[in-house]
Amino acid sequence: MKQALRGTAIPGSSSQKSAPDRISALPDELLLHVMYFLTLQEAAQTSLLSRRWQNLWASLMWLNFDAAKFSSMRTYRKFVNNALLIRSSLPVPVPLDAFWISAECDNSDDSLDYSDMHPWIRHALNSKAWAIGILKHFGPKPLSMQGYPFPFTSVYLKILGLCHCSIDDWFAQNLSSCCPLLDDLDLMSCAIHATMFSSTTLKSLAITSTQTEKDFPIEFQYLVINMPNLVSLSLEEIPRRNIHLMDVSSVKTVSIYLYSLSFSNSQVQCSILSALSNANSLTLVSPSVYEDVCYLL
Amino acid sequence: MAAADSCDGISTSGGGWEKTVTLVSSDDARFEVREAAASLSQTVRRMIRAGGDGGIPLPKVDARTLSTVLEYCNKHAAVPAPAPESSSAEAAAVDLEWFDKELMHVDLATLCSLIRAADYLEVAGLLDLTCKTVADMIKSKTAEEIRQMFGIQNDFTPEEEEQLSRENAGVFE
Repeated sequence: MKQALRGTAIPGSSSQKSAPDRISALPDELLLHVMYFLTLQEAAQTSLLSRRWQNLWASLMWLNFDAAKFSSMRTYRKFVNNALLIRSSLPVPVPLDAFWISAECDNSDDSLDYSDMHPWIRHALNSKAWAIGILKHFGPKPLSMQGYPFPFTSVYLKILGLCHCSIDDWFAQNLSSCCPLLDDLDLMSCAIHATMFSSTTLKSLAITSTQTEKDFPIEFQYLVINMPNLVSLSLEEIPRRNIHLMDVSSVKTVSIYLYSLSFSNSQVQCSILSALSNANSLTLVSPSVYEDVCYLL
Repeated sequence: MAAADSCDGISTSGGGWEKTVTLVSSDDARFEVREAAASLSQTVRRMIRAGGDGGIPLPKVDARTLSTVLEYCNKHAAVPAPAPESSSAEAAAVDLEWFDKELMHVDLATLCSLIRAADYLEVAGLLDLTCKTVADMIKSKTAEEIRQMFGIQNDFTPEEEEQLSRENAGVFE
């Protein structure tokens, strides 16, 4: 190793004392690579440095708008709106890879509505983003897309994550017909009202728990999941939905939390196991089993 | 695998037989490097595949920069793949982290040369490491502090500057 290092190298002896501004001399894409390791607030601040840096950050293709450190939701909203405005007026449109919204602020109890986010999501999809997520949302009600045209129509979208959104059959139907490339769907703390979820493209589906009881559907119903190409399935409690796995024959990895609210009787559990006959990794967690075990011990 | 013509020799250092390649810097310094280490550079890897005599020319990287790049590659390619989650894997990760940190104790001019070299040579890990180092320097500093640190000339007119800070009011606090 040392041999290789020493070699016949003669160290360059030119030491630059009155060095010019070498950072600003780096090409755009390398400065953007640096900014990738900053928060968007920090990246945006570089706009103030000089003309060279002004609005350069707006060409970042990986945007993670996190409200946590903002002084208020109002400032956050203004920041995102302003950023997207700058992006829209770039001389050459810059496509997006990923676009994340985290609408939870450490310093304020205000919340955002879907009406605030709709134009942001449209911007991201018009910019050909292949990954979009509302990763955090705090508010009295789940985000509802009702009254809007289905927002996620895209031939680029592959990964979608939604937090605290209202998911009904309208949403589920549109998702399968308007997102031909979608292969990864993650629903976090969503209010699941849908009764039928079918997709031929999805490879990974994760549904994690709903937080508050008032987001639960009114009555018990089946939730049919029909995803023949699904490879990974992870279900936490889905209140008042009896899960019926119709075709999930490609599933390899499964994790299911058998919570009494969604898996109320043993019949359901049996049909789930038989539907997952091709899985090679299965995790079932049941609180009642734990209770029973504890009782026996 | 097709044997590449640019492979200059076989070294026995470290007990094993390892293929080496010769890299030639812009200022004609020659470096004999294990192929496994040199291949961390996608650019070099492609050139090895293409073959050729007399070493691989890297006209955009000077000897001083190249030697640091190779120090990185040698270290990172040397790491064996122990069983994940074993204590030795953890120790190796800690060691690498420490090594990376030490490697980044360089002046700004060198850091910029390394960024350009890592980009040209396509050494993804080193590009991330160097860019993150610059990012860490920028973090939690005011615009004026950043300008001073990097020697950036503020070429805004006072009016423009005022407008900029007005537009960004409330965002950077």
